[in-house]
Amino acid sequence: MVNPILIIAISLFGAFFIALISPFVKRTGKIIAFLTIGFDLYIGASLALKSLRTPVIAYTAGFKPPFSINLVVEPFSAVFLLIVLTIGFLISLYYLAHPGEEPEDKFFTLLILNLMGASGIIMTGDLFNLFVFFEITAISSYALVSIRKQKASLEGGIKYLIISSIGSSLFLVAIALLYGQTGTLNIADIAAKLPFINKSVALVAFLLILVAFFVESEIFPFNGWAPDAYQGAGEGISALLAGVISKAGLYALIRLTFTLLDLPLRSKLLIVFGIMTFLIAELSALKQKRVKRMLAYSSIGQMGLVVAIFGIGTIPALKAAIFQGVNHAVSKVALFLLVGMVIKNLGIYKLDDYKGLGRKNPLLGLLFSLAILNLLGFPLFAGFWSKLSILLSTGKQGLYLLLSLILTGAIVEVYYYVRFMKILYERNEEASHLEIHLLEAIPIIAMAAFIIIIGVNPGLITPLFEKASEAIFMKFSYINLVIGG
Amino acid sequence: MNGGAMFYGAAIALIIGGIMIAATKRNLIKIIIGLNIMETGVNLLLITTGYISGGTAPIMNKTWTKVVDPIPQALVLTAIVIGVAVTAMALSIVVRIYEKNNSLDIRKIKEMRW
Repeated sequence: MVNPILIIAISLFGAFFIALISPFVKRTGKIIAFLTIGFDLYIGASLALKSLRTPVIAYTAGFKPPFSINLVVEPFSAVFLLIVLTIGFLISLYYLAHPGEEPEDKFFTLLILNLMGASGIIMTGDLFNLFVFFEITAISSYALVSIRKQKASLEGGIKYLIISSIGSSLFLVAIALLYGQTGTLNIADIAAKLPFINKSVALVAFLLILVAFFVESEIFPFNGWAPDAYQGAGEGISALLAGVISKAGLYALIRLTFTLLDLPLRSKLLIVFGIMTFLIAELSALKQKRVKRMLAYSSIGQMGLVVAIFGIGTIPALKAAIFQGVNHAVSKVALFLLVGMVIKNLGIYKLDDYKGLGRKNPLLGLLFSLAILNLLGFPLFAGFWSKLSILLSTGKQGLYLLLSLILTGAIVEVYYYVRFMKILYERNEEASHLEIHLLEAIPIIAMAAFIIIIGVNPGLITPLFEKASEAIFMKFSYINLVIGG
Repeated sequence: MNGGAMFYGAAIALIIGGIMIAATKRNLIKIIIGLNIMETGVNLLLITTGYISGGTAPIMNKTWTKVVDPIPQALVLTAIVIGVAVTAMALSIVVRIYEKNNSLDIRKIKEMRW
């Protein structure tokens, strides 16, 4: 039997194995990281496949829930586990050919620990365990963001640290309140006992949880750290922030709010804050001069859109939100990795410096355009189907104001991305030629292939999202699954 | 005097005070001290949820009658460790910032725009 605990055990082993052997054998970090994360992905994928038929629950210490910490993989967490581990794997593949940040061995230890924390957030069924994994992810990402020791990265790191540790302390307050009321830490058990506890204490706890995970999933007004962290971090780490860390935060936000919060209030809060984030971030992206900062704002905006669509709460909307989340992860990670290749070769950061790069380097231009067009929802790419289902599910609920706001934001998004593509393909004799290492390009080509295959035949993947959205929609089946069995 | 209410009040005061310090001070070290005060408040709150006035440690022997809940204490132990790790991380970043900028004032660090 595949046990979810294996992911955590193997990651810890791999991470500290690097630290153990690095004094003797230099430069093995990236290979060990690649193998460890590859193994995690293998376990994660087989767990995900299994969980589609029967959800997997692992207990610790020989007690059944609610008396012990448990790891749960059901369809909704399976989808997120797959996103996080696949993106993590592709990033580690990218780093095989791309220089890691110095000191390299410590960098890869942190990378593995970060992914371990993110998969832990997604799998755990225990509120305090969630807090611990949350902190593992957060502390390793502070270090990963500021590892470059440049002004911008240190600044991004300290801002991220201050805001995120306030957020996680508030989460701990929420845990204390819920534990004081229900006497349990198991998420499903808390959800089952929720109707019987003091309403106002429960409400305060929910709001605190909301704030804590809004910080991590980059929702306005708790996202002041995000643009600086994205800009200051290495490009692979920006990709990690967009594809792994924010997605783990999003999972925790959705899992806790959907399992613990009543429907009308939840919808209102998620929709209002989500759409606000989307509009503000897209408008801020418009005036950015630096490519990474522009992508950072676009990333924040997409997270806002996904949260708003989750807020609608019907099954088609949930499906659309998950689909959009996957598309955003794939596109944005590809874009950040491509930017990383450009910076490694040419050391350019400004939008105007990209003039003519796409014309001179056809492969680079093609991959950039694919990722961008997917993000914009151009027909025949995967992003088209997710944008379409977002519009349909919003329209079906009669939320026309939300629909028009989404369209407004999307138009702004189209404008600055098309401007970026125009710069890429502008005539410029002085544009430099890039040495593209094939191994470096493989993860991006894989993502481009995913975009096209899903774009041609979305039916390959939508059943998975269907199951996932049903799993999160029926909160009682989750409660039954964990404490009923 | 109701012990429980006093402890809750003190915990909440520490949390709010810590956040206020972190939000209003300009010196990075003071901000980190604010974060630490907030963490202390959270830990006190956690302990208070399991506290019973006059209770003893939950160790099984013949004489015990009233024991406090051991779980919050286990949680606080973990939370303290995490808090120390965050503080260490923060201070090491601050050392680097000081090396680069020769200042701990967040207003003087030019690129610091919220």
